[in-house]
Amino acid sequence: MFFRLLRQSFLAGRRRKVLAVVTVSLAAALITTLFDLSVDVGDKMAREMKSYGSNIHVVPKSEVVHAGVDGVGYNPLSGRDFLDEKSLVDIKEIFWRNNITGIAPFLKTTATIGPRGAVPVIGTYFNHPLPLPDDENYRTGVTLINGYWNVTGRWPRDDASDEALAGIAVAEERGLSVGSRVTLQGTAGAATVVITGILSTGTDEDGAIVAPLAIVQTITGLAGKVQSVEVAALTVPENELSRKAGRDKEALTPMEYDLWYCTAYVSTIAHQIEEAVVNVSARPVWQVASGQGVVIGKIQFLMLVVTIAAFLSAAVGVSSLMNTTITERAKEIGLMKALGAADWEIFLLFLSEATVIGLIGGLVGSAVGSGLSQLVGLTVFGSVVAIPWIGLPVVIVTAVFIALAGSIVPCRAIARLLPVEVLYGRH
Amino acid sequence: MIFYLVSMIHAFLPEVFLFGLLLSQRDAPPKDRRFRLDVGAILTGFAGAYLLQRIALWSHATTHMGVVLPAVATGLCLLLGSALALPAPSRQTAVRVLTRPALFLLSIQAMADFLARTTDRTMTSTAVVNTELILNIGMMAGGTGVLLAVFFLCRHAAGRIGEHAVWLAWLALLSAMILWGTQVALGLLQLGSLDATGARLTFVAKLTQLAPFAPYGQLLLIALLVGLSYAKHPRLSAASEAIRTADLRKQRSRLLIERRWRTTLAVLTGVLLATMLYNDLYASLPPRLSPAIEIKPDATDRIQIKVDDVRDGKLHRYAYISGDGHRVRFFLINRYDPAHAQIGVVYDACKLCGDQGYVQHGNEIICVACNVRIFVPSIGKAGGCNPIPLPHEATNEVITIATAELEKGARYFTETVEVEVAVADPVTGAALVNLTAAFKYDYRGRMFYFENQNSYDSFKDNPEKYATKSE
Repeated sequence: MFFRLLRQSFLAGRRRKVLAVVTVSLAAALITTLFDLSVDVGDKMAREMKSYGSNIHVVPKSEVVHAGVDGVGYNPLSGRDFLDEKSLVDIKEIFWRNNITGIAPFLKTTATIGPRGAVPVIGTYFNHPLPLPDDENYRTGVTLINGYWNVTGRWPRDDASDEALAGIAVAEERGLSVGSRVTLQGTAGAATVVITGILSTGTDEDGAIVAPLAIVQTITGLAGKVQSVEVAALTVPENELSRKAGRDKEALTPMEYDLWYCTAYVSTIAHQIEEAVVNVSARPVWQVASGQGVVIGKIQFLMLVVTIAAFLSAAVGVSSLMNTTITERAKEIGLMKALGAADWEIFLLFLSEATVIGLIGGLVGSAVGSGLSQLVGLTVFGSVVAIPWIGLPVVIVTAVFIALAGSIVPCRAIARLLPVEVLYGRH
Repeated sequence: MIFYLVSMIHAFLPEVFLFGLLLSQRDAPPKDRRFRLDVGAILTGFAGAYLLQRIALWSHATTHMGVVLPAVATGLCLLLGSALALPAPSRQTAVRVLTRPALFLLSIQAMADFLARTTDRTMTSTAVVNTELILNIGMMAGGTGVLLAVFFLCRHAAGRIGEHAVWLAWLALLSAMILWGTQVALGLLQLGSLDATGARLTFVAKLTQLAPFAPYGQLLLIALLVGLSYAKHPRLSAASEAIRTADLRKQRSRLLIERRWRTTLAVLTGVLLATMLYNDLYASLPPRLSPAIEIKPDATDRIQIKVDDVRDGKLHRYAYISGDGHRVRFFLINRYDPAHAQIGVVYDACKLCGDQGYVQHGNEIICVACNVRIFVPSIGKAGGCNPIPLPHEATNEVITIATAELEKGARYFTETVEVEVAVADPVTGAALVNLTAAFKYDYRGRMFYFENQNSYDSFKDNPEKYATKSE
């Protein structure tokens, strides 16, 4: 019975219903767009924080001295202090050595190539032997720890004194291709290298020449020195236990304490590296969190405000449409009351109608909004946005709330209607 | 994400059910201002619990709080129980007087319980809105809705079963008192205010083991309520056929609505039960080890495993029953690609975390105890959370493990099966069964069994002599 009533009432005054649906779906589309963008980045960040592998950035202690000038990081000691290449072995000597899957040292400088000024040059290990006490044949380098480094051509050999990669941006700018010969003129020497491949990483390396560490040490005169070390490790993300331990170690039961002590948390490994190598600072690196995450984190509040504004304006729109409906159908309501319907039963009819409007509006809005978010994603981040499935239920629920919020005030008029007045026509 | 819902059920279901029953016994129906005051008492209680918890964390007094709050709640239950024992008119008045203080205090207890369960969890790993955060919040919103509905439905149903509601309320109070009383006793033992005697410890420990099942007990009581309200449900009598049709229709409609209330309560009880079962039987369980192949040594006391059998990169688990009945698990895994087999041969135990073992998820090998991912090429090396290496001989075709090595590994494992021990009583030479032997003694990592006190003592006095003799 109720559903028959609902269907008939919904089909009455169709034009106004369509208008209400459009109002709700416009707001829903706007909310979907903002929501999809935010959740896409949020999910990526959460995945990164919860992943079982992380990169730890090791630099000399003096590098992390912070001296901000007008929000721009300024450190007078930056680039003056170095680590010993020999100490790389120490990193593989810590208690959690088996969880360290790879190490790559870096030495950055600039060198002039040809007449058009300097380019950054990065020295590193590609797949370099690093004999360890318990494994003579251990090899490590960027090929093992940076899966996203993409090379067209071939990787240089670490022991070659005349091979290097050119970042894709530098290659375009300087017209380099596989097989080109360039001379890198550094502060303390020069080296002529053959480009064996073009490197694309999506980060700083795209704008640099990447060469074996030995070559860069030669042209800078920093034999046996490196500037920073990237360590890839299998770690356990911070969890319930580590937070409990962080709060109060006394509160741990002996079993929990043992477990906490023997778990390879990122913080534990970073701490052990700091202990094993003299005068360094080791910190986990979060790629997404320090990139897109910063952008979204800053504008999240703005998004909330826009969402609330969309919510309110759509609710007001629905409200005026609902008002008209109730005035128009006053006689019908009077008749229902005269037949013995309770107020709440009539409320239920109109609120259910609003719910249906919200559902349809939410569905349409989600579809339109998903398309819009792709457009924004392409223009702002330069990549398509993965549409999070959670967006659909959230937006539909929001849309239903919009419709209900808009209906509550008009519905109060129902209680005031007197059957005798409206049916007699003196309304 | 289901964790939050389950924590809510654990913390709030006792209060919800109790007040559903109690408020049906209050003399005036809650309307307008009364109802607002009730809600005010609950919300103030929640805020109070949050404040108390902050203070307790800050002053390291969580154990104290875990004693005081349940103690107050238990006392309140006693008071409410005796109020319910009063005869009809004064009972209603007593319940009315007690309702609001009880709502306030039990809300503190329930919220404090919920906060204590969830302090070490975070709803999200990042401040940017993400799926996990929304799911967790959604679960809590859903849980709030379901529990509120259960409250109203229980109150309605309890109002339809007359005096039986009092019995049910007593049962609810009793179950809540056992739950909270145990917390008080445990807290007092921890604080040392109560001397920890063996009997007390056993008693409290047994009751504590019941705590995870408390929600099931409450759900059972709710089911009882549904059953009672069904039994007490008025039916259209034969005489009613005679009355006017308009009245009959009204009566029918009333009965229909009653039936809907009841069905809804039954469905919600089912939902809560399903949630609890899903969590307890599936979601909160640790990963299971893949089955181990039982393996027996050949005539030369060696175990030989073909490399081709374990080349595929999967974790191949084996079990060997040692002389003293320990089930020694070990596994073989190819550390590199199938073309270049380099087999890691290790015990299924870690020096740090014990013998909970390792599981394989996709390409990852995970330590069950501490959830650390093991770098597969490093399996076979000692250190960190790596599995303990098992000395063996390897050729390109076959891996050979001496049983003597596996016997040494028996000390890493706790799981025992009943066997007639290979080494009998080293003093008397009698054959023994490991699980029933009267005495045992761990000497240099090997377990010796004795048939009586005499042989045990003589071994302890001069282990060197017998241990070497028995080999």
